[in-house]
Amino acid sequence: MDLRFSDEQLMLADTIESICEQFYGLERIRQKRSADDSCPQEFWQALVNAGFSGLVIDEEFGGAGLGLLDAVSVFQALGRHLASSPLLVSSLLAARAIDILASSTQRRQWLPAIASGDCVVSVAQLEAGCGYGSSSFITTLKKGKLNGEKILVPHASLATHLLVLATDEDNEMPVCCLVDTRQSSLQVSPQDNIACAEVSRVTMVDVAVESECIVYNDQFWSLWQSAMSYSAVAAAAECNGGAQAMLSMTVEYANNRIQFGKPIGAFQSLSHYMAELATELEGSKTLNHQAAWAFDQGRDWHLLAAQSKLQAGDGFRRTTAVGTQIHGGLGFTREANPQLFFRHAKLQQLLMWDPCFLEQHIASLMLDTRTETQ
Amino acid sequence: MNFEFSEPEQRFIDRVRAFIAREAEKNYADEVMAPEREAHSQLADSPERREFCRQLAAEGLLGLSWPKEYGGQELPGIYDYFVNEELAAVGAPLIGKGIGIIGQTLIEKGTEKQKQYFLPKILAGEIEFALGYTEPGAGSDLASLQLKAQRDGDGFRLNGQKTFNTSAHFADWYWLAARTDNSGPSKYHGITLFLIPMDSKGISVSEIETMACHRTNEVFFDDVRVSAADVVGEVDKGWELMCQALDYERFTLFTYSPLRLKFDALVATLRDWKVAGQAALETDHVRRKLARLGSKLEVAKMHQRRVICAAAEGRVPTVESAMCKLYCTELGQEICDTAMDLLGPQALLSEGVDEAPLDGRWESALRATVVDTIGGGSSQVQKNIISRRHLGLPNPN
Repeated sequence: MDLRFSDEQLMLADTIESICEQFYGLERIRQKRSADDSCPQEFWQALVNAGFSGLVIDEEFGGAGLGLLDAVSVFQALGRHLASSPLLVSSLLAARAIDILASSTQRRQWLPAIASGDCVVSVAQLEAGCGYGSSSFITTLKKGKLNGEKILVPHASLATHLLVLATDEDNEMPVCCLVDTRQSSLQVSPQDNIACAEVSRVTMVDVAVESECIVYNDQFWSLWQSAMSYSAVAAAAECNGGAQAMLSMTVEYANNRIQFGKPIGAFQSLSHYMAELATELEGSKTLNHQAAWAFDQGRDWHLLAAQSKLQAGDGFRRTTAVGTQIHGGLGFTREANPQLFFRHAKLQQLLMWDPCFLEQHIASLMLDTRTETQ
Repeated sequence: MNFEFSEPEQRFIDRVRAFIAREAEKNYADEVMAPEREAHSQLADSPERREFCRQLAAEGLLGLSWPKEYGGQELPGIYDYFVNEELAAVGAPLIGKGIGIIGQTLIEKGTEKQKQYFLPKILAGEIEFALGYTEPGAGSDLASLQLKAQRDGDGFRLNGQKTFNTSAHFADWYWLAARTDNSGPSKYHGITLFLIPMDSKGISVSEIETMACHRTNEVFFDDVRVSAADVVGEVDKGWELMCQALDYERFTLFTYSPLRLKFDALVATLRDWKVAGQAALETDHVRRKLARLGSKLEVAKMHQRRVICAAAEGRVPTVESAMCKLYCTELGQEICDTAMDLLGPQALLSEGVDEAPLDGRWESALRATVVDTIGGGSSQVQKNIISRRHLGLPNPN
């Protein structure tokens, strides 16, 4: 048994740290005021130049062919900086979905483009009134035309394409389509939100889809869930990174802030909260690593992935709630960083599978007869 | 990263499981292996359980981490933990204080005479100890203990009281911390460890009943005369030995498998259970609660793995053990409490009542697990350890 990251994995994280510090520091994130603000182009470009857009894509498609545990190391580091980019949605979720759902021709067309950064594919799944559990989309594909409205589509301004989930009118089954973002029948409007994250409403009126851009699969929904599981492991790593940063920041503050003649961290009413958070965090990190390791080893991993996202999302949320409280009035102000973590925690807890969906999903994996796939 | 046990570790675990499977075939198995009886696994005494300990010894599962010259096998301390984990999984008596706290300390600091007398008996599973630490005025603040050990010729005379000394009513020997000097610069100085016969003249043991089905004791000392040869280590310098031994105890005594057993038992109970006419496992709120508990259970396992891993790397897993103890014991209580909530009023019924689910297991488990977050360093003590040693927060004093 060995629970440490390898030197290579630590190096990946170091590279991310320095890219974040150079191009996308917390100061820059604090300045964001609306969902119009995308992540800096030069930040994304630096990630692409360093090869991160192809991190987990197979070498045969021009990627680095690394494992999910390697990605976990990367996303933990990104999470520490709250540095959101299209990496999660394009290079993990969309790439994984295309890899396991699409035809070999489609794989050869899209995966190299995503790996090289030439294509940035965002995902349009959620619709008003239906969450992650629903496979019957209001958005329809009929006679090669997409119609409908999607919400919370991430990083649309940097995306060259969207992977749109829809209901195929012919057989009432879910499908997905790859569409170019730059067409007038597809309208993108940013949606303001708790964390000023770049998410948008996408309105599609008779968006033409070429037939080779439609992804059909008999097991569409279970394979899509598997691609979501995969990305949820990386999203959980991001949450753990965020929780880690928030906890360190809080501990530092508690060591320096003097009240009643001593550092407030000396009060057990506060230090015990922090000890609880540290305990949850270490457990959550190890669970996350185990989920990624199980995937890489070809073992049962779906349940672990879902459990990891549930724990990491909740842990991040709690850490920021308590951490902000310990910072007192300062934690409430725009000039300080706790509020940033607070707002991002709720965002990350609810995106890429929210607790309510996860509870149901975990229950069915754990309690009902199950066979693991992928 | 690798979450698998090493090959030698896995082979060893398989060997322990094979031993337990053989023992489970024996007539005494019902008495020896009682996973549904909380606390019984560690705290009860019967001829069958003593015999089982001798079988453990005969199988060579005692003293794994001891040096070879004392009959041990020089394996890493984690092997003792592997044995305990498997024993806990079937509710059998764990490898206790003899191999752990007492054996380890004697090997390091005991006199030749003490080693020669005690170590073989411990290895043979023939001797039971009681631990005499806690006093009415010294619980979490153990170093303020005041049981008086006054010089008397070449020995000492003990006067005072201990409390919560589990197994004092059947132990053969008493591992005792007493105050030999009160004038030192701090309370940590002046504590001395003694190892004395439990039936020494002047010792009286009386039962403390608890809300669970296990007894503990208070022990009174009335001019108990002990000799200088009964001292372990140096006079006045017992505190350091106690701390080292507690570090060891923390990671060998707190096992994960009882949590798994409880959770599985809960799911099994609910499979045949109905809530308002509907199958419990098809009821949304039941499923959600189980999803939460199941996820936390996996986190508990991760904490256990962190302890194992740190120990296997040759580190003393102080912080990992504190986190593991904190998380697992709190979760153990939560599982019992949730089980009762999900099963409803019927879960209030006790063992022997026809309608009691799982023969009253849940209400007795709820009572029994209360002590888990108190004994062996309370949850608050663990949080102090984590605050200071892991997070580097200041000492409250």
